[in-house]
Amino acid sequence: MNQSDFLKVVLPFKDKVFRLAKRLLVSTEEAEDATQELYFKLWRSKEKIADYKNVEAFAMTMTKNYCYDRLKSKQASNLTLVHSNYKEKETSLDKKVEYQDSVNQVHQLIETLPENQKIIIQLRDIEQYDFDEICKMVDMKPTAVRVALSRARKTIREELIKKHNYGVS
Amino acid sequence: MELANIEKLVEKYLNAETSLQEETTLKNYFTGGNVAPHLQEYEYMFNYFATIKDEKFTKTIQLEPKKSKKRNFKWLSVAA
Repeated sequence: MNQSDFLKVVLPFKDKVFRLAKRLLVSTEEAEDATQELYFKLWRSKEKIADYKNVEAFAMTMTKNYCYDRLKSKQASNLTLVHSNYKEKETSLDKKVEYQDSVNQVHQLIETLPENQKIIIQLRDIEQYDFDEICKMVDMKPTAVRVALSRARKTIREELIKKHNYGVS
Repeated sequence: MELANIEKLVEKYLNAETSLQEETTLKNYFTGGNVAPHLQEYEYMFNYFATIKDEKFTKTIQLEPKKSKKRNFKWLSVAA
C-alpha cells in the first residue's frame, strides 16, 4: 500500500477519530496528539490495513484503546479539563444565552457518564454508526450496547429536566 | 411529522430501540426550531449532537514521527 492509497483510506475518518479522542481525553491538545499518534500507528501497520474490510472500525477501536491507556497513565496526574466553545447558532437574541447554556449542559452531562456510556453516545448519537459497528468498536454484545446507550440517553434527559425545573441556568 | 409520531419515536429512542433512520427523523424535528415545549430537553440534546459533529481536526497529519526530536529526548534522558 503506497502513501497516497493509504491516505485515501484513512483520511476520511480523521475528524471522527479526533472527536472520539476528545470525548475521552477532554482536552483539544491531548486529542490532537492522540489523533496524530493513531496515524503513526496506522501507517506502521499499513500492510495489514490493505486486508481489512473495515479500516474505520479498526481505527476507532485503536483510538479508544489508546485513549484508555492515556487515561490510565494520566490518572492522578495533570489531565486538564478544557471546555470547548461551540459555534453559535442563530436564534432570537433574548433566548440565545439560555439556549446555548442548555446545549452546553449536554456536553457536561456526557462528561459525567461512565466511560462505556460516554463512548457509545459518541459513536451512536454523534457519529451515527450502526449497532454492528459499535459492537465491534467497543467489543461488547448488542444487548449490552443497547442497555448502555439507553441508560446514557435517559440520564442526560433526566438531568436536563432536573436542571430546568430548579431554574438553574 | 406528527407530534404523536415523534412522541412514540422518543420513547423508542430512550430505550435505544430506534433505527438510524428513525434517529434522523428525530434529529430533523428537534433541530428544526419548532419543538413542542414538553419535549424541549430533546431539542438541547439533538442540537448538541449536531453542533459537536462540526468539530474538525485542523492539524496536518504526519506519517512519521520527527526523528531528530526523538533522538534529543533519548540523549537528554541519559544526560539527566
